[in-house]
Amino acid sequence: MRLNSGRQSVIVFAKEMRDHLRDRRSLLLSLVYPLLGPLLLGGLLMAGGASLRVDREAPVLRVPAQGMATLRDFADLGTFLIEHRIELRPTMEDVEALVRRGAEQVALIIDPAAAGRMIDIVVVFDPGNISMAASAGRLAATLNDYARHRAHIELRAAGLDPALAEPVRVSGRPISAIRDVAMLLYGMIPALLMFMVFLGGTHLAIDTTAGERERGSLEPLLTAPVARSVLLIGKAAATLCFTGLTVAIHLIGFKLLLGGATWVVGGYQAPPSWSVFAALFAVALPVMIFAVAMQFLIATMTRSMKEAQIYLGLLPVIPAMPGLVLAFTSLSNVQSLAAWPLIGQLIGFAGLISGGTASPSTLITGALATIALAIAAFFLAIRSFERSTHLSPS
Amino acid sequence: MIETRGLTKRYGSVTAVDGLEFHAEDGAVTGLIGANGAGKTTTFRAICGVVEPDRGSACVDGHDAWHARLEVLPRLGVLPDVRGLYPRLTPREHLAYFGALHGVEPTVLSRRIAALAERLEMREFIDRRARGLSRGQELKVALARALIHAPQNVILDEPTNGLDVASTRAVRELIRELRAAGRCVVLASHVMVEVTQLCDRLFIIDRGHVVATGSPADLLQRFDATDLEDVFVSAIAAARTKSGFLQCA
Repeated sequence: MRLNSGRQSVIVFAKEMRDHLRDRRSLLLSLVYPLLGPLLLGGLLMAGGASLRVDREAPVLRVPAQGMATLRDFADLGTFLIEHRIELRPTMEDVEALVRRGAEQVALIIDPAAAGRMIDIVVVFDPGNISMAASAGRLAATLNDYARHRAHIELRAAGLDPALAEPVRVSGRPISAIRDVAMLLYGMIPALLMFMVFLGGTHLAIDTTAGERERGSLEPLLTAPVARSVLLIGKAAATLCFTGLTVAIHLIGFKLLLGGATWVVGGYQAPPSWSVFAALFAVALPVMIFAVAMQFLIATMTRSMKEAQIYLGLLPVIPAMPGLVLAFTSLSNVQSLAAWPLIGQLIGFAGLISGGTASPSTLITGALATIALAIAAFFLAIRSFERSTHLSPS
Repeated sequence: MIETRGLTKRYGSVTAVDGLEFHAEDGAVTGLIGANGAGKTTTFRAICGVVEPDRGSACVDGHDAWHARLEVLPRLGVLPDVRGLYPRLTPREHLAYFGALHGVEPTVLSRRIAALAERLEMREFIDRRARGLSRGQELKVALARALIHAPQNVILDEPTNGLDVASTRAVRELIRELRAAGRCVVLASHVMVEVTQLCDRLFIIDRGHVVATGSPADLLQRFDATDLEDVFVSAIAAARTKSGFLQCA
């Protein structure tokens, strides 16, 4: 009695699930690796949280200053800075070198040529270091506040309106509160999620194709009365299942570990709600299908597990490319890119993380484009699997 | 019944099988013997529809193995030279998986698994994972997998390689039973004693084509030899020197 194709693919799927739930490498990749990203971001939030918080409760910032003698006419500057939890420390050392080698977070150079009622102050910092940049921003803002405060005092003393010195007053209005600095880290979730989607089923895809060939179990399997396309569908379904498990653990890890970190540190924006994480999973589903299709396309074309591992190691470059496109695209142009495979999902991820909403049309268009590409890739994988040359001559 | 007509298969510049003419009848054990690289494995793969012939054809019970693969495979049980087990599955799970893929009813499948476990002395390790099984135990599992759907035609590549004396006897007895039940058995073996004991007809192949064929008794007479080992060596030597084709009726 021959079974129908659907029943046969369920049998293959069940075998692969049973087999790989017993496999340490598959479980490691699916259950442990997805927690690394959440642990990293949670750790960053805990350890680096204090330096990221630009508020008045920030710790005392001790700043080496070169040329402090020039400040003799600005005796109230020290007091003003101390009120703002900044302490200047006179130094004769090369402060640029100190900052460059990381010995100091930020430093000041006060121009010794300046004298009298005007001085030039340079804030030295490394913009590549997020913690230093935050300290430098805090120091520069405080010094600018002092300059404004000093100008007001002197103008009033001269009987002039302080507004004369400041005809235009510029201030920033952040669309999020200071506590939202954690959003900076939450903004990394889409990239990590995309990477995990392409990593989750890798071992399964390799083991069920190139691995079967390498250990000689493919040949007996091909003597079963099952179409090769049906075999591949069963194997791909199991791989998709493991990928889904990986992504689910990844997202749950983010919610729990980031939630825990923000609760412990306190004062930060909590991570998005469970419903947002559920929506992220749904938006990631077409990418999971695409990732599995690409994994099978590559794995069926290779002759050994080692070769497959090399090529599949490069696969996460694919989602990085749309990320790069987005990085150099203005927001107004982003919607026009939504129909491109993977870009629609990246836009969806970013929208959900930042505001909890994403345009349904963007999501649907992106999903359809990605699924269409996945079908094309899987069709090519079946063609590759059906070729007789994937068994070595003997 | 299994037959090939002008079967040719090339891998790049290497001709693995070159116009092979072969047939194996029901109720008989037919031996396909040849040196390593003679083309046996490729011939078996073509019969299973695993590789597509470049020319000619392979048929099982009248069905073309490549074009009607899904008709052929239910009629065919194959023990390949590489046993190809899944290390994390038990022998019972192997048999259940392949039996299910062949569409064997669950109740029938359970009965067959029990019978094969008994017949091939697998009870001791049938629920142990395949990783760690001895070579002989692996062979028994692969043999049971080939027979789980009770096929009419059976291809056995080195069916006693790695078995102990008692198990070798049991397998040979099983092959005789298959013949007695009217099955078509094709056997490849380098053990000439086994070939002599079991085969009703032999095809000696070299460089992808048949160089001698006939019953063991016919071949011994034809080559004026006392055992099949001498027949094998003489047939290949004669073919290579004369590039001729010897046919014993």
